[in-house]
Amino acid sequence: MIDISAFRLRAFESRFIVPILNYFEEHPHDQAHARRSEFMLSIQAGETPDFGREHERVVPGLLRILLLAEGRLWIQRGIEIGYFSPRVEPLAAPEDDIGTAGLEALGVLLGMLGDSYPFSEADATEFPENLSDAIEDLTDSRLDFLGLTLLVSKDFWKIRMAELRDLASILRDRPDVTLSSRFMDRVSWAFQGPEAKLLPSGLPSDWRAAATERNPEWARLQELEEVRLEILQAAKRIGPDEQGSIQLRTSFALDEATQLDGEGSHKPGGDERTLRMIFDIPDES
Amino acid sequence: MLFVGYDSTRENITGVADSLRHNLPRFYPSPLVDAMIVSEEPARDDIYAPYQELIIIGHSLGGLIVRRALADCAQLWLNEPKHAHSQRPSILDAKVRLFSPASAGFRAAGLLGTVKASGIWPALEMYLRRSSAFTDLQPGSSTLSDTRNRTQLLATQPGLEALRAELLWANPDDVVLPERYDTDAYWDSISGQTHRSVCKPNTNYPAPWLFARAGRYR
Repeated sequence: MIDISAFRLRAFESRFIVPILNYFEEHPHDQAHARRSEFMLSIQAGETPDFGREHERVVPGLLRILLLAEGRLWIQRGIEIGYFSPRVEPLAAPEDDIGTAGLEALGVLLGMLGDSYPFSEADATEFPENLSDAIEDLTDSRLDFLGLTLLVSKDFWKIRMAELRDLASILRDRPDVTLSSRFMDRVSWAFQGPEAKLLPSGLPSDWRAAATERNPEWARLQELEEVRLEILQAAKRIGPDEQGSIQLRTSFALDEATQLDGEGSHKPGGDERTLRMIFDIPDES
Repeated sequence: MLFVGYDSTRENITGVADSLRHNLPRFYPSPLVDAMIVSEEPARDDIYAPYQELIIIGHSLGGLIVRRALADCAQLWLNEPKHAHSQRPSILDAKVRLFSPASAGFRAAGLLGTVKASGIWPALEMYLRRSSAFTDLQPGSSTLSDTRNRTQLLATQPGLEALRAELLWANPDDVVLPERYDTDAYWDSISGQTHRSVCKPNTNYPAPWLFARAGRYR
């Protein structure tokens, strides 16, 4: 007699937990574990940690520590509601150093982002769908976005923002430009990273969902939103054929007419909302 | 159920179709045992028993990819010198059910069609990369016309019934052109659903389950 809840647990672990454990096995000298106290002190102070030149050796590990903690919370919740089996032992005990550090960091991070922790009692019937959404959200673009907005140093952030401003500038000058795959891989995080389907709703993935919200307290999201707006403005003239181009230009012209508020200031995010409206695209936020 | 995902901003339509064609036989008719048992926990009582039926479901761009994979598979089989005596590829056992397939391309040319299909930011990324999903879905592209011509040429031949898809269109669908192939086996539309929602079942909208199972929803 099979135990499908045990299979579900193992399948979840193989997709979510095992790649993280493999990462730490393959990177035994990862600095994230050693620098976790520094990380927590920074975020408790409401600041972004600054690991200087070491950030590239620290940030991937820190991100995985947070994801590992999230994965363990999914398992805990899944066992509570009977979706996962309590009969089998989850991989790697949550008491280990990395696991404990992750849970602490996740709690602090969620507090900083204004979410509730520990989590509320989410509807058990929606658990499979929520879990599936949380797994689907783990794309390269999303992970890059989370690492950049939450974890990298200010200097590194500035470099990446400058790349996006360069893109806006190139698009303004040459709307028919074709960009290299390498460059597009580099900036893809700003295109699809903030476009998560996840909503904060009392789930272990709330820290990822909250990081996407247009939270005015989170300066990097504001700055990113402004640069994305620059890119959208620059993209107005795109259109390889005249019909598509005219439609896009018309939509942007309409957009400009509705963009200014009473004081004539620009509303970040308005371009996108208006485009969604004009093209009848459901709002995903 | 086996879900096949791909990155439409980066991957090539023909490449994904080839990958589907090459990899599906790993899972059908005999289950891939490594996928049926994870850390000693099996997915079902008999993880070795072969499947009795293959149903391929596609939505939007996925529909075009499925059509392409099947047409290429059929053509390659017919190209074999004694194909009548060689075993037919297992993927050609399939019943094919497509939700609003993009096999005639986007309604709107240029970036606009991609924006409607994928959203603003994925569309902009596809445009800047000149990805296959952007260029190949422009109305009249060679990928669209080649796939259609090959499928229509092959679908009436014995043993290639898999190329005769069953279709369910959203009504209204303002993203893709709702044009069927002459050789498609069945088509219908469902009101009150959009291009994006047509394939997503819920308690109040069971039609996707019914269509996937039987090729009809009413």
